[in-house]
Amino acid sequence: MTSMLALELRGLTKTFGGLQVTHDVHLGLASGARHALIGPNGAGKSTLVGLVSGAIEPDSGQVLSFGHDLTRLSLQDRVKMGLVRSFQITSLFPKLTVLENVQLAVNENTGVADQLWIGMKDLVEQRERCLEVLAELQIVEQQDVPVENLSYGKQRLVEIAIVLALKPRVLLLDEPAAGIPSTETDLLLTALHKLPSETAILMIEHDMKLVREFCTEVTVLVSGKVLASGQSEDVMNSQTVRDVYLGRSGHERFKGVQEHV
Amino acid sequence: MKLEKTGFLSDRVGMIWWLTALAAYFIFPDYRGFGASVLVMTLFALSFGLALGFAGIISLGHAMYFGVGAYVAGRLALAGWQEPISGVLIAGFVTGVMAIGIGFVILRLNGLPLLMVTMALSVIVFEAANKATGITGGDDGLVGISFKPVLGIFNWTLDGHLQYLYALAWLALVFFIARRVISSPYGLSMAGIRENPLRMRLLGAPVLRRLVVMYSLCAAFAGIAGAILTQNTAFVGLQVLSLETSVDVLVMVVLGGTFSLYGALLGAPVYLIVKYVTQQWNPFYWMLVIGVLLMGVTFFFKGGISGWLTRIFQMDRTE
Repeated sequence: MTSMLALELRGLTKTFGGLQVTHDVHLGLASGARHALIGPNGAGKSTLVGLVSGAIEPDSGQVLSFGHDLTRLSLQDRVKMGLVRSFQITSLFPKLTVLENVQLAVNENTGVADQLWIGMKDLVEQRERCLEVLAELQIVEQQDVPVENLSYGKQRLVEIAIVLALKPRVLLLDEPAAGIPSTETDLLLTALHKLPSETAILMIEHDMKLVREFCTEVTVLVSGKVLASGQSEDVMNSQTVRDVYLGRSGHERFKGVQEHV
Repeated sequence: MKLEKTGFLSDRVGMIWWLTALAAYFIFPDYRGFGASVLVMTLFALSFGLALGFAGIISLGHAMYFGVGAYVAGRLALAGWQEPISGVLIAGFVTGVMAIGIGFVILRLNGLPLLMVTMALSVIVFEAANKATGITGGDDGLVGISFKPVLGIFNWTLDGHLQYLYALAWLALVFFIARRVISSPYGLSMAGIRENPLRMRLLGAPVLRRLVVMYSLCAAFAGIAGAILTQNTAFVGLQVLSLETSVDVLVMVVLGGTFSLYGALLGAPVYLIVKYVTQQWNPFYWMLVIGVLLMGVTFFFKGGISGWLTRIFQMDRTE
């Protein structure tokens, strides 16, 4: 039976050596979902993003999007299916300018990246699209600056710009706000709010404020297992989650995790 | 073109290069033969600089394509196909196709492993050519080759004046193509692959295929250079396939700078002219001079000669 969920994970499991980092994870995102993935450090959140994006191969389980099985597809083919990720640690093209970074994404997305014989200057439509995205994140003025010369916060915004330029159907955001000064977090939120409402977003984030403001669903991952999943309100208010992750002080939190696992 | 940031020479400065090349034809009539060989090597260096500087494909086997191009043009002529321009194009086509096959295998590697594999391949091809005397003439090379006049009008000469202009015209054509390619979306994607191949895949780019296309194009250019060498000298020697030729071209490109197309255009003539002059002065110690020159450029001129010129040029503008 095929589901028409924007993103569906079925029993994803991954072991590194003897360490099981992802254990039988099931997760479903409908079109337009705003889903947060939270959990303590080392819970396997980034590994899960790796499994979904195709950077890591699962030992078992499936990744589906709109009924298509993506489990065996390569990184680039998943992107073609509309599954796009951002990176927790900024992964850009350091020597290229802000505009060129975004142009790379737009060119791939609009299918002109293989053109050998037209000049970049002639791609008016693509250029406008780039400037649009840059304007949303207020980094238009920096368009000719090589990204390696930007502050880290600004680099994070370029990272987001690239992702937005790919027009994702399913978007995985790996700690989008990490390293962004709080003033720019608002910019980020505004840009994310402008994404088409049908885009499904899975966001890993430690900033609970951002999660509360943006996400309507939350999954809590602890030691590679889903501890709780559902509407934000329900999950945040659940006693288990409070005990394990949100409420108690560090030492107790650690003990709580141990007991549950 | 922002890709060339660290080695960008404006069109004006570029013009100076082309005018100098043309002027050299008139100013040094006695050196046209030597000049023609410099231009052929410049074209070869350009093909390598494009792969190294723009796609980040490092290789010690580029002479393989140069040499095969040279032999293809030679064999064609011996078989009766003596029209030079089509001969060059056929040689370029053959090496381009050859590079597609090789590229799909070796371009999964990068860095040192790629360097080693290309070197090994190059040595194998050289030894094979050495043994296959029926095709290559072995140590004696291919002799007795002759070509029809260029465009049916211009006759080949002993003083090398046609050779010089013929090589210059091909160089200009290839340079024009290379420039268009690097300022295209495809060229930008090459820069992206050079900078961060994994991220390119996560933008949906078929990285290997893109690299193979670029590699094939560069190999075709190298084959073209080889074919012109054959036509210019009416001879093919095994030297064209040797490892030394691959090393030479690497040195030329590093000397000139890898971040601009002008890197190859400056590096190759500087290398060959310094070599020529010092060999006249002392046939044994010319390598020493080249070595010191290369060390000097590497230590003091970031981005090679073209990088250094760019900085001078930019200083002029800002002051």
